[in-house]
Amino acid sequence: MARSSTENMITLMSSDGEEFMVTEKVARECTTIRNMLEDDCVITNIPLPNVTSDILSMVIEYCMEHVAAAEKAAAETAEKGSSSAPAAAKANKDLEEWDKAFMNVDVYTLCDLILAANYLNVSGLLDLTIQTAANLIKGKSPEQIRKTFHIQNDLSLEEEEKIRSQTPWAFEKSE
Amino acid sequence: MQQLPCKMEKSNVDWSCFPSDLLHLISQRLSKLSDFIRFRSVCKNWRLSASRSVAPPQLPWLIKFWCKKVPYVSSLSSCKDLIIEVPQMVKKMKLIGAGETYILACDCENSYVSLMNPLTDEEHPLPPLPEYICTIKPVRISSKDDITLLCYPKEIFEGVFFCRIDGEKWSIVECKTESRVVSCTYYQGMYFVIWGSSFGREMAQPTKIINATTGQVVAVVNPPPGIVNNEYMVESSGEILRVQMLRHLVTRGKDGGGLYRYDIEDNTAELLRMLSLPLSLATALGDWFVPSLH
Repeated sequence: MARSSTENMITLMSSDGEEFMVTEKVARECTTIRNMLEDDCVITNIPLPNVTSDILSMVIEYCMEHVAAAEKAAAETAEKGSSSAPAAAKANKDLEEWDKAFMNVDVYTLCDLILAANYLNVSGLLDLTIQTAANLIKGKSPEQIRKTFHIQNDLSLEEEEKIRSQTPWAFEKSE
Repeated sequence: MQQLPCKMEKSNVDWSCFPSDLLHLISQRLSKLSDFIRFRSVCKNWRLSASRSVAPPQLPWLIKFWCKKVPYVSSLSSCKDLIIEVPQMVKKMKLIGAGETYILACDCENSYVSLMNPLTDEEHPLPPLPEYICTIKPVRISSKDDITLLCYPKEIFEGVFFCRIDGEKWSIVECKTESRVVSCTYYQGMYFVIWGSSFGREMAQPTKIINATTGQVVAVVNPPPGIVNNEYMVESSGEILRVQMLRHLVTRGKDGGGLYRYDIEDNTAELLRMLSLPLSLATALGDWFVPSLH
């Protein structure tokens, strides 16, 4: 990613003390940080006591990729006067592919990413991670869902029986 | 140096104690009601995060046929068949149709008409209909207080009645008809009616749009081409959809028909094709309801 020397750099600090230098543009992808910068434009160092370094590096990776894609699209529009539809469609598809590959994570990482995306208010990432979690649930039985997400069943036998008897069709294999 | 508000749980949060508001967001992405129900059966926290009343919007279920008063339905979203266990009460009555989240049932004399949610035990008795009514078809059931029925009179008579619930009684509008009504629905002050030529009809039939207050025809919408076996309208998320099933022998393929949307503007409307439907839906009766848990 091209960085001009005049661009403001901001340091984000993870809960375990690791520092990440990012451009202000990338940091602004996080609405929570953007709001802080708008309130007080001289901040250059932001501690994020709730995000670990491995998750923060992933959030930054996501923001950088999306900022770069938006810049590339804007540059192409400026160059040609107007953006060509097939090129824009291809760029969108490439970004979707990138998102898909980015979501190839285990359920623990997915869990932390949703929490971080929600906390930092990165709407694109929250949308992507929430959809990924929903896709992991679709078509699975409750037992398969528990296994996928490593969840202990804390419902009593009576409760489970009651749920199943109310809507038996929802637990049939064909649905 | 400014600190961000510390409202996020520690990073050792796992899926069983995941925050409720975020679990709710996930549950809203489950477009099939069965997935939503199974989501609610995972553990206590997940169950509490997705209340019955906030199931994501559903495409309607079509009733394929009634067998021993048990409806065999097919979901439009998955095109899969399901058998619904109806409340015991319904089994004693005549089932005359369905709409919105309810099925409509009456006793043999049409003196007792009632709405029921087939997925729960909820029942709402309706005011009695006039004695001169012999056949009832639901036109619109949008809530238990907003119901319109299409009724045929007992004597041979060229007309139908639109009976709309008005508090504790029915308000009735008469409409002249030249033929049998195949399907009828209500949308923003208008009745949408597909008139059939009779049994064994061949070409798809136009839709007449009728002013619900005056009973006058205000527009006619031409049907998509095709020799049809079955056609009817359903209401879904505030739009009128037309299901048009082609005659099997004619299509000879897997394409059973199409789902169309009425694109309505002022007093004109046209049909836009949304998706193809498989042959398995060809026998659906034209009754439908939207699955709901409340």
